[in-house]
Parts: sequence; C-alpha cells; structure tokens
Amino acid sequence: MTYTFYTGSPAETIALGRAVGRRLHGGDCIAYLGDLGAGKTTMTRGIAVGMGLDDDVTSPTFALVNEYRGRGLSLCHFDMYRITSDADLETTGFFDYMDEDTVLAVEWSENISGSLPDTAVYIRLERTGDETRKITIDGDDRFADIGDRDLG
Amino acid sequence: MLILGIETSGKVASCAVMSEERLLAENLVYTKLTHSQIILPMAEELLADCSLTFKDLDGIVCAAGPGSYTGLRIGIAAVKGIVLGAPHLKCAAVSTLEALCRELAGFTGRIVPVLYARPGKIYVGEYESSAAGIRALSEDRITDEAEFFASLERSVPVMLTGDRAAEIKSLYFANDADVLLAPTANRLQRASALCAAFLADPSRAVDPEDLAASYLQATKAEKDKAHSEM
Repeated sequence: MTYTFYTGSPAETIALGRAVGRRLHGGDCIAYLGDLGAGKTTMTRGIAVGMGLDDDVTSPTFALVNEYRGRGLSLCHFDMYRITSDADLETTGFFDYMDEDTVLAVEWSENISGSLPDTAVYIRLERTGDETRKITIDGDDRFADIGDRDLG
Repeated sequence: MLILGIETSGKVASCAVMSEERLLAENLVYTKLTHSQIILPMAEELLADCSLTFKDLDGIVCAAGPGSYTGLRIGIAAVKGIVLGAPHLKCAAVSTLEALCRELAGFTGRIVPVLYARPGKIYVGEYESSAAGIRALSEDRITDEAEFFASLERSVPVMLTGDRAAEIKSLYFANDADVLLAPTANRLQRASALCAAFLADPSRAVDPEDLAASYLQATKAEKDKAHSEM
C-alpha cells in the first residue's frame, strides 16, 4: 500500500520519521528514493528517535554507512550514491548488516535496486518548496494508521 | 605442529590452539560485537592460558570464506599482522565450508554445509566424509537456496550443517529421516575445525602475502541471467 504525507517543515518530517520508526522491527529495510536535499537524513533522524535511539544522525555520505547501536534494535544508515556494482555493494558490508535486530535505512537505494529485500519499505521524498515535502511511503499496513496528528 | 586458529567468518568469534595430538584450548563466543575488537585479545588470553607465546607456535590459520565480508577481512588481516611479528609461522586460510565439515568428521556420508548469504541465496558446498577424511565433491559456491535443495542428491545419508542448516531442514526436509541436522554444538564455525583442516594437510601453507579471502561472488553468468530477468 502507498501512504502519502505532506510535511511543512523539517520538524514535521522528523515527526513523521518518528512515527515510522516506532513501527519498525528488526530485519526491516527502508529504501529511500529522492534527490539531494530532499530530507532523507532528516527523516532518518526521526526514525532513529522512533526506534528509541538518539537523534544524533548525520549524513552517511562520507562514511558510506553509519551505525547506531541500541540495546534492542540497531539502525544502519547507508549512502549508496557512489555504489554502482554488486562488488561495490559487497565491500560496504551491506549483507553483513542484514540481521534480525537491525533496521537498514538506505539512501540512493535506486543504485542497489536489484539487491534490496522483497520486504523493503520504500520512502519517496519530493521537494514541493523550500520547507515543504511530499513523502510517499510504500509499505505494509503497519503504516496505515499514521495520521496528521503524528506530524505535530 | 602447534597451530593457532582464528575464526571470524560468521557470528562466532573463536580461537583455538591445537596440535596433532590434542586440542589444548578453545574459546568461542556467539556475538554481535565487532570481531575486530574481540579476536586479538581472545587469542592472547588463550595462549596465556596455555602458557604459550606466538613464538611457541608453528602455524596459524583463519577462514578463507565464504562468510561475512567484514569478518573474513578481519581474520585474514589478523593472521597477516601476527605473521609480521612472528615470521616463522606457517599460515593458511581454509574454506569456511570445509571447516564446518571437519567438525562432523566422525560421520560417514555426504555433508552439506550451508551458510546464509542474502535473501534467497546461500553459500553451499558438498563434501564426502569417510574414514579417508573430508573431500570436496564440488566447488563451494553462492547459489539459489530453493533451486539447490530441490535437486539435492540423496542416494547417501546427508547431514546439513552451518548457520542456515536448521531452517533448511524444516523448510525442505522436515519429514525426511535421511537428511540429518548436525548437532547444535557442531553446527557453527569454530577455530579448532580450522586447525584440524590445516593439520590434516600442512601443504596448504602459503606465503602471508598470498593469503586471500574467497568471498564467492555471484559469477558473471549468474549476474547476466539475473539482469535479463529484471
């Protein structure tokens, strides 16, 4: 199913991320679709908080992957911008991170579309203005009950 | 020959000290923690427990793969680093799948070690275990799980081992008494099995610079096939 949201500020995008993060469990893979500056890292900041991790999420562009370890769930945040082959992907340790107590959040998931799990939850972020975003979540019915109240 | 084994190819971090006559010490921990932080202190502690130093050893062995990409690199880097400081050591890297079979060396029949690679994909090998030892029947490979087990050769008793073995047994062979599951304690990687493989065939020793991981990437042909199906 596809669920569409409109956020009016980074704070609202974080709030939506928080609602998504609360609904995630180990083994989930978030696959982001969206251009530079669309808010993928901002959204991930919210997801981390929703998962019970801290909000000190930074862009994984330079490290390729940032790990946020929790007592229960952990989050691994990838940037696949420079990953263009299966061999490249292997060297990020992507497959090592797929684990029953780890959530993967993958920026530039277009680049590894053939290697994403069938159960991946796709989140498309589109700029509709400087501060406003259209955010489309393509996933299962766990996300059906997220409403405007979650954006506050 | 006195051998130190270092196993980091999967979730288990393990070290062992073993000679032809006996296993002197072994430590293994199933852990999510980074093997790079665990494995060297574990090796040092184990040697200290045996009142040995690296100087007393004759050889050192790690897993060549398949397995965790990062884990394999940690094991090989550890061995290369240790050999830098102890250049007399003979070193080797042993197939992770062969080593899993070595844990079941008393079994007579076919052993199929199977490790989870990624969704739907497994690392798998086929080995014959007999009084003569462990012998590979085919090359270790990465392949489609359902396809491989649909056509499994079953004219002899088969024992499944490795981190995916329990799921394979229940998914495909739940009611098949001729497909056995390795005992829990012998189903995952452990360093003594690497030592056993090296001791069984000391000619595996290579120059440290030639020590290489065998990641078992999908072959070009498989990729082309996958691509054409997209």
